[in-house]
Amino acid sequence: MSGNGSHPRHALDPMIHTPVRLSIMAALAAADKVEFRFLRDTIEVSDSLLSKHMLTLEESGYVRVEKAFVGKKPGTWYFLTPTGREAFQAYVATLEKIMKGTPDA
Amino acid sequence: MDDHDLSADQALREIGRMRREVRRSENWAGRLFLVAGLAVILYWTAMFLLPDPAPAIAAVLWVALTGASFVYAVRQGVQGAEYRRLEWPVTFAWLATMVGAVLFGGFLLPDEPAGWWVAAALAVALCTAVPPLWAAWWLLRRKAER
Repeated sequence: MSGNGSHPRHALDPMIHTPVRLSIMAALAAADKVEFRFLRDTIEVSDSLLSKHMLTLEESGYVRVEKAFVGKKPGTWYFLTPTGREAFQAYVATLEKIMKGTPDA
Repeated sequence: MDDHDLSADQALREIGRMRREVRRSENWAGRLFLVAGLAVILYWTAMFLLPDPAPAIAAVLWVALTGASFVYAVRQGVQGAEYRRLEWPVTFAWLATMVGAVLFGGFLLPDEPAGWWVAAALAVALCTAVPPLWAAWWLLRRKAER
């Protein structure tokens, strides 16, 4: 949570409220687990930028990583942790609150 | 997109877009169960009722389909929550019906089935398809509802 004001926007989680991390969290919230390449191609970011954001989310405890081999190719899968899922639900609830309060948001 | 320009409306639209992308990619599991359900009917029909070499060909095709399904499944970039919930119950139910079909074919079905035995063999073949076809219907119906 950020800020001390009463407007609901102050309650938006800064860990999620950035374009790339928002897309990552939205994808992970809609699935059980998602592979790195799917995220990279769907969000249209470079490997390095995605890795950087994934590390940030992992360090915050929102995302868990699992490495697995598909044949000879390594694959990296991501899941939301219960904390991450809870944080994303709270984030969406805050967005909806903002939208209800300010029709032009 | 600039970090500072992300409005609530944009954020909700992006969440909706990602949700749609993920759910579109999740459909593979429903399609795979559908193909498996239809294929298993043909497999057991060939094993129970068709003359040689149809059972041998069916067995080879079944092994090939199983291998291809495995490769297809592990190459998918998204695994849905519904699929994960259904995966093991459906697998166990399917295994049980397959064991039932093996026992039926091995111990009950005569070598040259005729009359009601043909109907019984077809019924057993259809029963083996129930778990995967139910899973396919469940997964694809849920996608259509969204």
